[in-house]
Amino acid sequence: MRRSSVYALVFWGALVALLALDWVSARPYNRFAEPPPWQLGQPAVEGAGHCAAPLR
Amino acid sequence: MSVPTPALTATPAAAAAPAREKLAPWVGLGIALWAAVTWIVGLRQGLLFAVGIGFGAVLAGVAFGFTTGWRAWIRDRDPTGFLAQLLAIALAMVVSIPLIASDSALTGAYGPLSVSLLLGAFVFGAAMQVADGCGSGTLYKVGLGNLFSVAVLPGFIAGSFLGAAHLDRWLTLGALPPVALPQAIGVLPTLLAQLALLGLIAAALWKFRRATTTRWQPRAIYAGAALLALLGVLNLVIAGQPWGIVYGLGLAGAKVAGALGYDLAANAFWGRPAQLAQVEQTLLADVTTITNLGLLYGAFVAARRRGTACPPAAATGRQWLAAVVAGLVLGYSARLAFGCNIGAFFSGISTGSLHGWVWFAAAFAGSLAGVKLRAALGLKA
Repeated sequence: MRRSSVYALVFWGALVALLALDWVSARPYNRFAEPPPWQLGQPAVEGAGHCAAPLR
Repeated sequence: MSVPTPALTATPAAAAAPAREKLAPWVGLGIALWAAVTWIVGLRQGLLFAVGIGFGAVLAGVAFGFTTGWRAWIRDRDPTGFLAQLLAIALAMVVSIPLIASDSALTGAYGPLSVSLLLGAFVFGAAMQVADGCGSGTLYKVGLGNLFSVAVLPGFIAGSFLGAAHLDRWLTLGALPPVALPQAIGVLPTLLAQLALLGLIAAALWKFRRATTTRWQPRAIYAGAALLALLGVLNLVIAGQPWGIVYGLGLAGAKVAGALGYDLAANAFWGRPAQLAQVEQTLLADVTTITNLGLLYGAFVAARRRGTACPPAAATGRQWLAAVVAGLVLGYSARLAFGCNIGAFFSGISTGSLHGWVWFAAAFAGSLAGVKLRAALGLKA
């Protein structure tokens, strides 16, 4: 296995580990309070933001 | 007698078929990941994860690079990559702008017209040439295992967090409110004006071309542009906002900063109720982060398929340092500029935001300098 492949494997492992750590440390997610599957045609759902959005 | 200029043809390197891996195991894993995401955080997030996989697969599958597209034109006057970007924006625009006008729950990428936009976009345009990737480019190259881009990513995350944290101070330099062209001049005039402008730019790129060969497979990259436009519209329909990259990176940075003891509540941006609520939630619940994660995986699978995964990394110490610093600058400047090539250029223009055009002009000027800086650092063309 090439060294770059090993590093890539390390990256994916670290990413999964960080996501798992984030999951256990985050506020419990209410699976049953999810928004509709898509936004088009639905009442607006408040989101935190977009990189182009002004300060809010 | 005039000699007709031949159409651009792919270079032998672009046409060569590298060793490919079987796709089935990775597609199976992708379906399992999609099911897991959908089970854990809901169908909307699952759909956005799938859209993100599509973004990554297309970007890596046809080597669709915003950064390389600009550099190939600046250096070699090869318009192929740049034209594909304009095509993607035009196709996304003709659907997105009428959709947003017809549904008040959908919003465009409308950024303010600020001094920080000019400065940030110029610096971003230069830094992306050093890093060899913008927001989407860095992510898809990380996904396919490019170590240089892996070195860029931590700085990108930190810079995105810091740029957002300092944004209120940069805005004191001067800012006008966002201008949504469809609201200012109407939907049809916006579509016609923007199509005309994109067409003029495309005509200029073609007229001043010099290259007779191109690094891309032209048919593949134009098909990729159409697919990116389709996925961009799907992102808008599902998330209610257009495709973005950098907010998700900054959010990850805010999580790390909070864990290290930084008082997010005292910050002008991260201390806002909506931001604090998002920081407290799992990253998987954020619409931008979930497409970013899908993008990483989609790029990984596409690169495995093409045989381009995990390219050998060869860089000097100075070049590795440049990658880390460029990442930090990219993240910081993208927040000052209200987006990167995706959030401001692709999504801004395709939803009729005036700031997208300003971003484009300033970032392209920055890229002119960035290409020279790249050469000075000895980074490959």
